[in-house]
Amino acid sequence: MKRLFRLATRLYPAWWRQRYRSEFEALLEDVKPGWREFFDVINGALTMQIRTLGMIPIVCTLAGAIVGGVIAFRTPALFASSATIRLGAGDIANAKSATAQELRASLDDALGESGGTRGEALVVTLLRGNSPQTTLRLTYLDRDPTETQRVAERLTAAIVTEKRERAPSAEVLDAPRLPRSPVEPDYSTTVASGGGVGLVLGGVVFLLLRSRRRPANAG
Amino acid sequence: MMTDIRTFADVELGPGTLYGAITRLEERGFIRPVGGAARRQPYRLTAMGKRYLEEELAALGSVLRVGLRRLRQA
Repeated sequence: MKRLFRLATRLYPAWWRQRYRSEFEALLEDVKPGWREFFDVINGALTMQIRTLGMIPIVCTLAGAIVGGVIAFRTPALFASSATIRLGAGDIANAKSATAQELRASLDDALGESGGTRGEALVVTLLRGNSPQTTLRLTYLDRDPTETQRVAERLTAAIVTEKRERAPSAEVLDAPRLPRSPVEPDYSTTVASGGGVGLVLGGVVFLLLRSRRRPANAG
Repeated sequence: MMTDIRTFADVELGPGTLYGAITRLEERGFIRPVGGAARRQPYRLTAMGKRYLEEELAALGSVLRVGLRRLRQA
């Protein structure tokens, strides 16, 4: 507990520690250590930090986090469904040359079936390009999770089943699944980024104000 | 100091709260440290602090007197 108290004391601003640390630690040695006293020290440290920094950086951080949150929640959700396909040695040359074009045609077919034009992106990644086997990752992104999985399944079938002559030994290692959570927006990152930008702006405003006040204080 | 406050005011002050108050009082010039006992630092009221405390206690005394008088009449 004494160690926790020492760590909590470090949360105080540097100027405060320089002035009061020694006597404060002497007081803590006399205090019966408990969680109530510990949180009191934490509260005291945060209060002192706010007094030192002023409210500007804190308000700017909160404002930035709120703006980030609004942006994140106004951004339409985007879902991804992926399949992992293993191609045999004989498939690789054909797959590399023909896959993108054929998948684009299959994507048009798949979207045409539902009359939809919502498809956002199709990502095909060759995970391992060395012989004798290559693993291909096919990812389809869409606003609707069900549609995302359906089109991803349709595209997977286009490679594995319908284009047998091109990829005779292709095998599905991981079938497309129904996405449960969107890949975009990333709410926590967007809110944290907004807070971070707000903190930086608040810090700049604080330093500008302080530099303008200093000559007057210096007299 | 914490024991003293607990005894006369029946208030349990944590170390963080106490030193927050000491910091503010010293910044406002109401108390000043007196050199002495190693790490344990005693503080003394300044003339300004004494004047301020007298004013505050007088104001509290006034509120107390009026409050008690009105309570008796109620």
